[in-house]
Amino acid sequence: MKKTALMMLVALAVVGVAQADRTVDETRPLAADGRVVVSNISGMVKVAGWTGDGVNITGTLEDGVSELDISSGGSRLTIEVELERRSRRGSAYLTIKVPTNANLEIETVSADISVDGVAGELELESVSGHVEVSGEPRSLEAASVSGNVIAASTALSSDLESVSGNIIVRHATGRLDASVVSGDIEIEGGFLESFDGESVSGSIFCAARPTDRGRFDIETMSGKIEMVVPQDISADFYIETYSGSIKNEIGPPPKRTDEYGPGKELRFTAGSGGARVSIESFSGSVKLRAD
Amino acid sequence: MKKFNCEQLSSKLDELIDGSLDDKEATAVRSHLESCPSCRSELEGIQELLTATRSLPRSIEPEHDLWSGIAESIEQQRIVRGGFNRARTIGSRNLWVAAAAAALLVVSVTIAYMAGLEQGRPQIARSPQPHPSFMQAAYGDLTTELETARDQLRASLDQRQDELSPETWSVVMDNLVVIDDAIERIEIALVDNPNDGRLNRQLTVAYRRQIDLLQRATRLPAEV
Repeated sequence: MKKTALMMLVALAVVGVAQADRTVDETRPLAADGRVVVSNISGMVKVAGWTGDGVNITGTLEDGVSELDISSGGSRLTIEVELERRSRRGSAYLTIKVPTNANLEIETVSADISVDGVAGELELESVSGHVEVSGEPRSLEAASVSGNVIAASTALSSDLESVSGNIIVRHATGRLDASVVSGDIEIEGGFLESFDGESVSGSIFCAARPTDRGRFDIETMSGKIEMVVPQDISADFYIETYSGSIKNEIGPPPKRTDEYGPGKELRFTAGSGGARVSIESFSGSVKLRAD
Repeated sequence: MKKFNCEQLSSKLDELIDGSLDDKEATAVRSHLESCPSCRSELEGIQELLTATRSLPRSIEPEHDLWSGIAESIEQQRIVRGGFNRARTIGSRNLWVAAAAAALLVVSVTIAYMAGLEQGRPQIARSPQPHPSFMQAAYGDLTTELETARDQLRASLDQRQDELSPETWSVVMDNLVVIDDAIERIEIALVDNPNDGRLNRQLTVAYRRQIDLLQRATRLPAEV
């Protein structure tokens, strides 16, 4: 008797679990250049551009999620994950297809965000989730507190921020602002009209090169800065550090700024100049490495 | 007539500009300036700085969303709790945020200008350098205002501790400490070099980074 009751309880529990996860498959109309606003607590938000009509939302809502609220007005579609009244946790895993030229606003707490092939304006923010972007958005703002921000390529104008997470850009273009506190910044390549990189203790690595009149301003308090410089670069370099070191593989050595103080500076022109690279640190080391 | 050497005169330039010198001292200072290009250059630097400061707009859009984010927070008067769609009024937190915002508005204008002024970048290096004592005083005032803004934002953030996950709280606190360490190290360096423009600028940048982080943390969605 006891065994039968136990088996019934187990069976009920299995049914309960099975009922907890619900699937979603909804399609809503949206103008080709409309705005999609998504908010989710935990789980995942994955968005891809498509040539189909409107917005298609598929995914799974786990236990703790009350419902997926989808509402539209004008050229805006809002998708919100609502938790049950007393629930503190509830994950939703959403895959959303949007018109290629749509604009996106996505906000999550711990859910990761990924966007691929969307050419509009992207505003992506997470607390602890990672943010990953590929494709060629018109503009990009991406931020996380502790998650990484990874962009396969950047937009004409990109603003990337993290506090303790890393910022990684595979191929940089346009104008890029990247800011971290203790995380690292890594720009693996590309051409930039401007690059404004800031860290407090995180390191900054930049292998992108400035365009002919490009402007790079890279600054750290105690992090390391390393810039990979191609042999044929034409740029004016202005490098200063208060108590860090400067190592230059492509030109003259640094000079002391003060006979008795710890400061060092390095100013020189590579090639015919034109682009400007300014690097400043308080105590972090600076290295210009030949490509 | 009293005579000044360049070092003595340097300390009188601020007073000459604000008209607080008595007639004899003012005449002596002007006499020295007529014959000394170096001191004239210093005076011109101060005057240019003052002119530029007066021409600043009474409010500007600061860098890095410093003001607009806070204004948005006040306007919305909501934070998200337990889900982005379930907002609640933040009540007394508004007072803190509003106070911090007011302080930041003043600070941000100054930061934007001072940062441009003292970057030590090439186009700036060619400009006449402002008088060291003026710079020191200006940065001193700015630092005080930054500290006020920071403290107000920190008080605001403390009220939200129970709304953020321990992990997020820890990340924010750890990184505030990282910036605190940087500020402390720069301040130590400034003891020996109080007129070093780069150090002063780096100090304001460090404060700005701390304020950015605090501002951002106060706007995070509630996690618990």
